[in-house]
Amino acid sequence: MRSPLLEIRNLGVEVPVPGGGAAAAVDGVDLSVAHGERVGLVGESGAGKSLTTLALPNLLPPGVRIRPGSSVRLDGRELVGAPTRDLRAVRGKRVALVFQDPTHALNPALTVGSQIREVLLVHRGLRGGEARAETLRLLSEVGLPDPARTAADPPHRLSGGMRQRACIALALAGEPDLLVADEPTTALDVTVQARILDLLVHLSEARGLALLLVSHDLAVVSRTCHRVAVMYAGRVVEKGPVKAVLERPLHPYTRALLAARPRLTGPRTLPAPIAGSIPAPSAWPTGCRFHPRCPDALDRCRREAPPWVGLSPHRATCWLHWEPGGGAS
Amino acid sequence: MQSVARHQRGGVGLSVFLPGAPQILAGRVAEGLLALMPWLSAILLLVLRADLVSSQLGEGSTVGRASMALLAAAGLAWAWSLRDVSTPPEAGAGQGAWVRIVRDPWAGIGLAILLFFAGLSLLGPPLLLPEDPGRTQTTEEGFLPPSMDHPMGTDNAKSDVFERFLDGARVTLGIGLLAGLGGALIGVTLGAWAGFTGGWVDRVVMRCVDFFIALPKLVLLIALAALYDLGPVTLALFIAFVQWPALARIVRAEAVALAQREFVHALRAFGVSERRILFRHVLPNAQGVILVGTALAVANALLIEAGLSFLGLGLDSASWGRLIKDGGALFPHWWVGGFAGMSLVLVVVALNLVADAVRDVFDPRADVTV
Ligand SMILES: Nc1ncnc2c1ncn2[C@@H]1O[C@H](COP(=O)(O)OP(=O)(O)OP(=O)(O)O)[C@@H](O)[C@H]1O
Ligand SMILES: [Mg+2]
Repeated sequence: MRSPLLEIRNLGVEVPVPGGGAAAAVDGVDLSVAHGERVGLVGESGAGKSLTTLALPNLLPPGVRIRPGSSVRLDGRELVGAPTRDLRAVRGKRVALVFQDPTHALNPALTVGSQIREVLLVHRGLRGGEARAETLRLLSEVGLPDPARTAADPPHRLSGGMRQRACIALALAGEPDLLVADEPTTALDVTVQARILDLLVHLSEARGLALLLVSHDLAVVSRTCHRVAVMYAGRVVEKGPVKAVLERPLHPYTRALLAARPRLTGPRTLPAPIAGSIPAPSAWPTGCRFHPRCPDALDRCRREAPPWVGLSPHRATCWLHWEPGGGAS
Repeated sequence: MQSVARHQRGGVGLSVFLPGAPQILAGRVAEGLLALMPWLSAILLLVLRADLVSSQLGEGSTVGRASMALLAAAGLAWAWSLRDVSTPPEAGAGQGAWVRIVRDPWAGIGLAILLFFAGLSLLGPPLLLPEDPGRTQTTEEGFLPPSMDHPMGTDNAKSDVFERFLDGARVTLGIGLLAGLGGALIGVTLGAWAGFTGGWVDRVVMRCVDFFIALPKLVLLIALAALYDLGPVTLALFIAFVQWPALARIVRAEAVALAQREFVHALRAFGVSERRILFRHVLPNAQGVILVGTALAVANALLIEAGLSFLGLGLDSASWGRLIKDGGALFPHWWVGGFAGMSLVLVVVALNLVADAVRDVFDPRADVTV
């Protein structure tokens, strides 16, 4: 097997705390993405998903920093601590981001085409007719019906779904190996969401493009990804093949996430919400960080951080499945 | 959304004789005047100074070249107007920011005024003044009121005010333009750089701006003017120098806001360099502020030049400010300073009209609605 395309080891991201000091909003995340693989990152608001994705090509906002000892390797090359020059050559060229809100991710003063041509120039040195032809090709590849017209339009002429397609074309312009999409459909109409997800899957398969897809919603991940990692309070609490995790969730948090999804069939009960929400990074509990909201919490969960349990590749960090001597229940 | 406005009135027939008139009648004042003014001027030239034109056309003289330019402009205007009235308006046209500015009636009037004075100062001296400058320099009497011989009368030194007015137009408008654009260039560059980069760059630049803004500008200029022997270019540079801080401050505020926008973040994520982001993405988004600031800076520079001249600190050579000063009290010799004063007011008002329209079109609140 080839070495993974992206390998995140012990990633920590520190955010400033209102009273002064810093707290680790991402705390020891391990995650890898193979070439062409689609991996979902799921969790509630405040879990640290966006910070994890932004940390990859170090695009963190001012004041937020990567904790020493973290490692992000792209094809074996370390990105943490790399000079800005090298990072800029990675951004858009090897790893491209697709943002949540396509309305604000495009420059309102320039046409869609000229923004794509800019990336073509910066990363592939394409100019003039070549760049124009490639722009049209990219726009039609993402399923825009009239590429020539879209290229000449400013972003505000496009609908939300078309804008997100244009953003995806922009992300593809540098021919990246990994597309990182942070909730790419939350700002869109429900009817459009599924089509954008299908497009991402299609592109990943057609181009051998790896995808790291961030979402609140396990359903979104289940229809697009091979593997999933569930995050809670800055840590990955469960990871494994999508099918296994959805059918036999190990962690109570994953189970709660699954139960919270509205069902179209079956008894018309209200979705069971998980009581409470993720506290701020400065106020994370000791032991298992989920224990205050966990229905099955043991005494031990309050004191000690849980170990990894379960058979590889489907694993979780939870005391409930722990047996002295190792192995899962 | 307003439907496509009526495109023209009067049709091809009117356009043949008065190019621009159909457009003016339909409310497209700026475009119409742009065509009508060179046309009418060319006709006047041919009627009033046929001898001059026929003797000089084709010669390499200034007069010959100026006549050629005017006739060419009139020809172009005629062709444009005819083509414009015979093609139907495109559906959905008129959405672009520039088209909206030009078609705003008030801005249209403003642009037409600016165009008139630009044409007058460029083509007026060669075409409207006698070839021999000495001829009107010495007149029989000082303070003659306007007449056929002296359209703007004569002044105390017995020279023709019209001649001084035309020469002054070049100098005054040139200084205004150079000072306004120069100040804008410095102010926009420094302001955008400071606001976009932030950190210590921002602090240093803005401390300088605060310092220069705190200085009493007019006093500074008066001191400079008293110390140096001013030519038009040095004067323009001095005026630019006192104007850039105000522009830097406005543009910086805009750049700070733009630097926070998500698309800037997205550009970084695509590996676009900071310099490219600043020049290709941030500045175009600030073009409204930049244009308004520049137009007002030009207007301000005109007033400063006039003010300095009025205080006797301006140029020794011809300028409108100098004419206004020589006019002294408006009455009884109102013609000496009156024409220059009126023109100055017109140009300043025109610049403000255009600036207002630009502000409306680029107003951030306005473009949310699309
Ligand atoms: N710039 C910042 N300064 C301080 N704290 C921050 C900053 N950015 C994020 N945080 C904190 O870090 C935690 C994780 O944030 P992150 O944006 O990664 O969450 P998320 O999982 O993406 O949530 P969402 O689903 O709402 O996007 C949150 O508690 C947030 O308050
Ligand atoms: Mg997020």
